Amino acid sequence: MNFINLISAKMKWHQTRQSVIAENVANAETPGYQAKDITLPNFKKMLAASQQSANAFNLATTDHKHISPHASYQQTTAFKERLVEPWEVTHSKNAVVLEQEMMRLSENQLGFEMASNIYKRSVKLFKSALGKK
Amino acid sequence: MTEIYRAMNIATHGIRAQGGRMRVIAENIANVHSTPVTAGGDPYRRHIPIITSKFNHQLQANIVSSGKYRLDNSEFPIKLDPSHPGADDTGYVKMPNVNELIEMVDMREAQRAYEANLNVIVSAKSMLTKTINILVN
Repeated sequence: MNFINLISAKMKWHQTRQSVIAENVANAETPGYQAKDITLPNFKKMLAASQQSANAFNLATTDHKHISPHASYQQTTAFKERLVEPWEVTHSKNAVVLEQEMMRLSENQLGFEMASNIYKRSVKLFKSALGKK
Repeated sequence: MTEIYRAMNIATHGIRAQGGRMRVIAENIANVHSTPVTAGGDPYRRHIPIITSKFNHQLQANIVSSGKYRLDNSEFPIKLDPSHPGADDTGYVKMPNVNELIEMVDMREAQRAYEANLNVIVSAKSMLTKTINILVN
């Protein structure tokens, strides 16, 4: 089931984002620090790639020099960092707005909750296939 | 970006703006007794917090921000105190044109507006959480 991979990628993204936001909050008073964020990976492309790999026969990659034809969908570990456009820059050139960070924190939390609930649902799907209630 | 995230974003700007307003009010209250240093000089002049609205293309909404304050050009009340270093030839000292009562009312207003914005965030979040929790049951 490939959507499980997709959901775990989303959860991983939320986890990484959480640590990035935590870093921003920790540096809320650091002079010259600008708030960071990570960009959302292209889930649409990932889904398409995972469906493609599900339909095709895959060659086994037994050596690190082997190239998988569906490599793009593996690329979920590193997320692209970007600088956040600040609402305000203080005199010490600090560009972290705590309100903005709190908002992104709750946004992130809701996104993670959604992903984990979808995951829970998918596990239930497997359980019902196994004949469990 | 979903509509609810947008609502939360707008309310966060509101919180920020009320915080800026609060800062100006705090400045006024702190300087309620700031008298002039030189003889016949001017004391602290009251700052008026300005809340402005600007259209944000990303959010497709008017967001608020606390802009630069304006100075209150009303007259300074005078007090007879010849021993004061800021007193003029006739012995009168100009006092700041800050009315503590007005500042208190402004402060309460800022507080209420802050809470209103906070409530928008809390209820938007609970709305979204309830929708997400459909998945659970």
